[in-house]
Amino acid sequence: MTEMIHKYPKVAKNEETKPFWDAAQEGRFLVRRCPACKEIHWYPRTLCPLCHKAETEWEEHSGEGEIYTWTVMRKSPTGPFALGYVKLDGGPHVYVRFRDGVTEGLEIGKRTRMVFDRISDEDVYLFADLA
Amino acid sequence: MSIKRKACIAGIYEYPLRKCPDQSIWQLHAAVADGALKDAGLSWEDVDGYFCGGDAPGGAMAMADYLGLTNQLTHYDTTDTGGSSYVMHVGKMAEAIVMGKCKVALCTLAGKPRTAPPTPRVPGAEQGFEGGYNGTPPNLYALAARRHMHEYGTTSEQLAWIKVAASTHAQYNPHAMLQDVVTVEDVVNSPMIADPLHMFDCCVVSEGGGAFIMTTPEIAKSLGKPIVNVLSAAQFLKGQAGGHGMDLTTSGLAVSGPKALELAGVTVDDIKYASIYDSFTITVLMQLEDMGFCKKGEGGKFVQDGNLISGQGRLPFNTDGGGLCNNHPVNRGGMTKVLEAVRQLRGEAHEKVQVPNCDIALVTGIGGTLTVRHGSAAAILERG
Repeated sequence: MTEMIHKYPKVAKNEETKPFWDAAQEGRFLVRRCPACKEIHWYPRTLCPLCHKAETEWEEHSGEGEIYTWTVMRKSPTGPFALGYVKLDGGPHVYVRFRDGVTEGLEIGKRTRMVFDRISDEDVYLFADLA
Repeated sequence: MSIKRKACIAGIYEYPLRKCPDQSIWQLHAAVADGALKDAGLSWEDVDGYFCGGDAPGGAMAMADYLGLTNQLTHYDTTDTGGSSYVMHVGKMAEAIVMGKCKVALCTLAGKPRTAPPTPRVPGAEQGFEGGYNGTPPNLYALAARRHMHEYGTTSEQLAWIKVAASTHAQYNPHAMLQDVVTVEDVVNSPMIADPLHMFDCCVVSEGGGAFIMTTPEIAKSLGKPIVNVLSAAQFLKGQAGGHGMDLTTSGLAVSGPKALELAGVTVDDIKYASIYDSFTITVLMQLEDMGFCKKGEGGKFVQDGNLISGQGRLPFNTDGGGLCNNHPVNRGGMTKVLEAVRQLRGEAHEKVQVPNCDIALVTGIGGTLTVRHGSAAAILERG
């Protein structure tokens, strides 16, 4: 696990997203797919935000994707960090922060994977890393 | 039913200070309201409509109470789509007047983010999945700039021309926070904040605020001020759409902008002056494309070589210095965009930046966060 240098707030979980965070503790990346339109969306919601025809279902995703856009925030008291949008394989674009320390070698189209890093005794949080 | 020429902006006021350590937020709202009413030649007793955004603590109910407007308002509206709220309110105030809900509508914005940071917006359902990332305006708008450069070859030098134009105008505004004229080199050599956005690609963080008054054409004509008609207004929300259809090179103004033009019955060729929301240089560039001043991807070419400078280019923009140099109170630039458009239409802009024969002006707003979810708004105003 990467040592956390930034302070992260307590993760805002709710009844609808609890399964995501439970799986995250085991390092599994869950997304929701709609049985009607067959699409995965992001962030996870029960009623499909794309077709509104059905309740979506959890499924595990490889977490693999590629960079759609990125930036490195230089003005940060705890050092630079990277943010971006990653396009998940077969799925949606996800707004995500890169794992602490990953600020070099970022390019549009580069392969990525989702990771969960521990940010407190209770919580892990979702980050991207270069594949 | 149309709002076209059925409501007029009759009074405006911009607070002169950019840092207000000795004033309360409420006091600033009252001061700008009073200034706008005096400018219009109307009194507090005339106000029967009040409109505000998320900068007003407690919303319209609490603010109206502080302002001494309870027991006289027949219409009130708190709408928060960040800095675009006040451009959107142009349309909502006109609609309320046309519908007979009120006759004299007041809209205020005020705050002091440098000395009393505003309460963060109550987060939505996205909070669990975004709240920990420390996404802030500079790094989130940088995501759009990066993608625009990737898709269209837009350069930092082209973006810099937007700041150069704003600074060229700001030198004539004695209240502007930044009054020095800068060059393209100054912008691209300023410190990198969030690649590829430099410090000079970002707007100022300022305190103070502004207000405007809208009323019926009959009342406006009785006041003896130059008439400024509302021709149209439109709005459009754009966001992640479940992560599908992601296009960070286009703003919601691609829908609300053309809609506003259509409702006004004008084209971009009729626009003599434009107040373009300028939280960042990239915000301006994308909106110019989305409005149709040039094709998507050609914004870089459109803005370069001084094309946004009054007296020099095709489209004089933000002649008060804009958010980039003059004022972006409470991190919300929509109010000051309305105010400078009114000055231009009245012929009251600084003589060095006044657009000759300025009969039609555009005002735009992008509020919230361009690359995550934002409310876009466009309003078209006309000299009466």
